[in-house]
Amino acid sequence: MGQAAAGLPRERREQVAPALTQPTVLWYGVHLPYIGLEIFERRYPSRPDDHVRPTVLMDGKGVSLMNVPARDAGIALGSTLATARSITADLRHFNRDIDGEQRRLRLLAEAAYRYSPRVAMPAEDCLVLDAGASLKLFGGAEALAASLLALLQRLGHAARIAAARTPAASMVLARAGIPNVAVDRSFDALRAAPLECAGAEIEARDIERLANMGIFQFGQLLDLPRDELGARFGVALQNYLARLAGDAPDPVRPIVPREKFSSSLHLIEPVPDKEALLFPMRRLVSELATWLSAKQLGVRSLTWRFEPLGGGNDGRDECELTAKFADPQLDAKGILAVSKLELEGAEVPDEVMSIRLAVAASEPVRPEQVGPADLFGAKQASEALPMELVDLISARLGRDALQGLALSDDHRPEFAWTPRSPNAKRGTPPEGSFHPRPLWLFEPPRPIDIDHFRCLSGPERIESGWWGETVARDYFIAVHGSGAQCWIYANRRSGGARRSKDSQNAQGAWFLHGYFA
Amino acid sequence: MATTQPRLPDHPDLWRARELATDPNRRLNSTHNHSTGFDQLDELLFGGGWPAAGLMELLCDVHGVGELRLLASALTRLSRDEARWITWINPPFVPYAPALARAGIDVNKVLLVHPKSHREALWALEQALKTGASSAALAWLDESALTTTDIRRLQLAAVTGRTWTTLFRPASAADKASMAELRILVESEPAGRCDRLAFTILKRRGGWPTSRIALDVGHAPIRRERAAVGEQLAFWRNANAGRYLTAS
Repeated sequence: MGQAAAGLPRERREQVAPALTQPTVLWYGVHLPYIGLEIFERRYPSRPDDHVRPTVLMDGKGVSLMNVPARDAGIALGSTLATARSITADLRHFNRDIDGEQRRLRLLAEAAYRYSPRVAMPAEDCLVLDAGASLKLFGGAEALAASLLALLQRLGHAARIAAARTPAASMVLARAGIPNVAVDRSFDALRAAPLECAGAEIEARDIERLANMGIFQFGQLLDLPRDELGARFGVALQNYLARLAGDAPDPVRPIVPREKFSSSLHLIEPVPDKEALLFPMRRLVSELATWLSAKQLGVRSLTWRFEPLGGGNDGRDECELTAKFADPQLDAKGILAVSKLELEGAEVPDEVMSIRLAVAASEPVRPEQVGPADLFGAKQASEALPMELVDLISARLGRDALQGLALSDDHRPEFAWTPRSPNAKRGTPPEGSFHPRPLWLFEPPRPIDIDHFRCLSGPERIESGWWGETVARDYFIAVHGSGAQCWIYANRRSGGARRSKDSQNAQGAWFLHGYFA
Repeated sequence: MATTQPRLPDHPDLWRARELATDPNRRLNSTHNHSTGFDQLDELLFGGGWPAAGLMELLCDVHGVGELRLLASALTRLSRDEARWITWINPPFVPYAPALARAGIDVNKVLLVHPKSHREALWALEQALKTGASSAALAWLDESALTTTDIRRLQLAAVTGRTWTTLFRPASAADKASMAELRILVESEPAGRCDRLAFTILKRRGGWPTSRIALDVGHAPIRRERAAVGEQLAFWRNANAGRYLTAS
């Protein structure tokens, strides 16, 4: 092998080497310390002072989580609600909703899917993702972490992010709050992390036993011979340390994003009016936007469902809105604008308790739509912009209020054009020669008194449509006394009158069919 | 010290009454207005054409004097060059697609909006302008409900969205104040020439109002001789009379 390589010319040897490099493995651990509280925050209609009010989360054993104002007030973990209330009267409390946390974590994992196909949720308050292969795309490890952090913040979550070579180590570092250490030195940083940061991987009983032995940090634990630790504390700890150090494989199970989007929000206080509904709607739309961008989809049609107080079990007073988009839409702002217009024209229950957003139809977007902002942050005047206008107007005025124009191949003037849906793809502009035609057409033609007109040109005979509405007319260009240039015609024979008994088909009658405006 | 101070007469925003829109330098400097296609009219307009981002009014009492043909040349170019809509708000009749195509306007870019009320019409027009989704907009609004404030809003929206906006109003609106940057009264030529119209510029940027000017806007070609037309007419008059005779 070595000989074969040596036999190659020098340049060739240098070319062979780089092709073998693997993409770096770089695990990001994302710790969401306040997710238990944050899922309740988004259900509340926001009040300006909410974030400064002490808030605690209760589980069976007492206070399990609290926000910073509550900690500053002096509430201790594990205390009872009565104790907490006695410390501060202005206390909000929620009962822990583990299912809700898991659903939320799952949604955040899907939002993070845009950075990597390997996103997993190995613990109840942590995500891990392997973004090694995406570093170049997102402009480096630090830029990617900052972008992920901003995304989570937009979705309403505070997070801590750390990078490491193994998923287990990245979670420990994130929990320990050691952010963005250089990956090469992540193992050194890990040594300083306290053992509590292992989460559920090391049992609380074992942590206490180790503490009694004077072992508080991962560094101390990793220095001990692993086999002997295993004999004493069980094989689970031994395996964990091996995974942590990267000596044993750590197969995480990556999530697979849902095929269909549907998310609902149960409000804690009923929302009385439409203006206030926009706030929770914005939250749902921003969730939808992250899902769409992860799946590279644009939404064509979506359904809003508003349920009143009492759950709407009997199907009464519920309200469903459908927002349709002419072009696949993936921008949260555009989606919300159209939804807002639909909402304005709808009958919504007086007190909405529950909002649901589901995607009815979506389709892949073209690559040029994904990056909508140009250098100056302004949207480029592409095909997407005209379609947004169509969405806006049809949401407010109704779909019948909009009309496009198309030519149709027929000699009869009233059939030579057809209305066309403005959503339809635009064809190429029609070419060819046309007879002189008025820019304004009358529908239907108006009967006139020919004596008020002075003919300038004509006749042009149009005789067609034996299969349907027969037309046999002589058209003239004429000037009316007022100065208007008109397109008038006389019926040439009363052929159609036999069928329709219509005065319009009477022979010799004159009609005004358009203006040469 | 004196040399660093800008001299007032050199200030670029200063407009002198003697520098009319016809000043060739001024015309060359602003190339972004849409040429009307009529040299005679271009010379009179600020920037040498219709306002590319702004509101103008066409005051016209009679339909069919050539008011759309006046705009057709610029509309043709916009429909070919831009992906944006040419939006027609509340047109009084059907814009006839074959005639638009004959004028060279791409009918795919034409968007008709049929609002049910004045409020809806105003709203749709403002959206069409300020979203920047229309290269041109033509609107027929309810004159009795239109206020000066509305026109001011539309003017601002037209500038925001870079839309050439034309409001069609009756000639009686000439007496009302308006924020539109260009107001033109269009009438038929009294001589009865069908290929001409008469216009009066009531208000324009960079210039004074003009007197009544005749403009050759061309016509759908008249191919037949007058005599032939008269012959045909006589034939139909007779046929008409004949029908009544047999009917009685």
